Amino acid sequence: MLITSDAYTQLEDTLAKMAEAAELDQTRWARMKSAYEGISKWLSEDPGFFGEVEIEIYPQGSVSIGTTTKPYGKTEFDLDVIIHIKLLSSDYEPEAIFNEVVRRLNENETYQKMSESKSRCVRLNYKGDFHLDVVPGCMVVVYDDKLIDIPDQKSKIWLRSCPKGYQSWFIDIANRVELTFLEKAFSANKVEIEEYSKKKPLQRAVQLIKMDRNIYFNENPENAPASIILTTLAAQFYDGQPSISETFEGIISKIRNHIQTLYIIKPFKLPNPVNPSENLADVWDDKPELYRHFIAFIEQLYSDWQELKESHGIEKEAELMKGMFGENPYIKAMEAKADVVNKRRGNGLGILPSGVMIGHKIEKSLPVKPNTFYGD
Amino acid sequence: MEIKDIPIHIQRSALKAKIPECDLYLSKNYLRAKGQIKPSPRSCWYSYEIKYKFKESVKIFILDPSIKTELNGKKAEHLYKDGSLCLFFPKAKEFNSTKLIVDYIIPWVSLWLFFYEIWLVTGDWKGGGIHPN
Repeated sequence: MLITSDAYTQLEDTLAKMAEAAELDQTRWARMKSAYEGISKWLSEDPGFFGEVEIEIYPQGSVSIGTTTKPYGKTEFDLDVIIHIKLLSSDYEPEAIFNEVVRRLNENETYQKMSESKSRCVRLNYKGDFHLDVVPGCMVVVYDDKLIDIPDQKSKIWLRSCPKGYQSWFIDIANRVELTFLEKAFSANKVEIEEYSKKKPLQRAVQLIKMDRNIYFNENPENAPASIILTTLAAQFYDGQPSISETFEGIISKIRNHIQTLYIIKPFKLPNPVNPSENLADVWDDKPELYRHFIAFIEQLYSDWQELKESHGIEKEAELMKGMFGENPYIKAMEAKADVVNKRRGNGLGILPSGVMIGHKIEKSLPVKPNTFYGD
Repeated sequence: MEIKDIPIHIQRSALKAKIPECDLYLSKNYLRAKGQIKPSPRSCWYSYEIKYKFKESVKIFILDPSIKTELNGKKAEHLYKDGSLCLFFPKAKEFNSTKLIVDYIIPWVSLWLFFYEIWLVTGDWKGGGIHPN
């Protein structure tokens, strides 16, 4: 983290570190990758159905767009992986494909013990790490490898989807920023740029909005707006701001304006950017009370954010941050900050005449001499 | 070569030079310094008072906002009984009358406040140190 004399940078750094603390870490990332490669191998070694066909396995959702967040108060992430079967959906019944996946996974004792069939996926529980929702699907047309038809085994229909298309749509928007505000701040402070500062502000803002959503709806998760809704809105209302603060502010303000100008009562439609005929927010038409929960959530988020932006001192700030994004991520960010200051003691750490600590010597700064806090 | 004690009026002028806003009072062998400090840009301002008796003692207090001595049943760390801050290890001569208050004590006050704030919001003192008891 940064030892900075700038209040805006300090807030930015804390937000980034908190979002990082709640995301899928590299160890779990590697475990997830080896988990789905294992599934792919098991399927392709099938002497029956899968042995004959080409399959491609890839993550979808938050993993594919870099916006994972740990569910609040839980230890396991919810992750999705697509099994793209290179057969035309028009040649098969949806439940036939779904059942082949269930059949093959159940032939493996390990998978059988950890699996649970849902309406559109088989959930594999990797205890302590994640639930991996394995979503099978077939080609829609031979010339488009992005489009996929996903079997819904309950309603026995194919559902059109395009996870790869959504991924590139989102990533292209996020990448409008080349260097993040934080990366530039690291350079300006003449310290090595840390990995967490490189994630794009749109990705960080989506993580933070989801973290806040998880806490706000902790008691009633069934009322929470789906991640796909929040993520799509965030990307649509993003204007390429280089900092997380501005991105967060811009997105929340625009969602709020969107509601207030036209949609105070009637829910708006949210076309899937890669399949405009699909309304991602169709649940609001069926259950208007969920739309009212969504509006209340956005209002709360907006007012909490306005308060957080002001500087209130660390104690009040901690209360706001913990309430919005969770105690654990906040504590992790503070521990990281303590670590970086400790590393710099006797090694460049200084203060300005105001007392504000800085990581390197500048004019009128006073170095912090090595010391041992002694006494009870 | 023996390192000489720094005369108290030099302590005073060094403080004035490096921290012009500092409020100073000098009387014979006693120097009192008052000022405001914050360890990070988003911290609140803390008023401090340093009471220095030449070749005898240095006491550092935070006056406002008052320092919490307990958090969820856990005692605050590195505070003397009179509420002054434990900033250095006297036996190791990290500070003594041969050293400038402005160069040693002031930055340590800021460092102490930095770790105090982290203690306040995490419950853990991350600044290390020695507990004599």
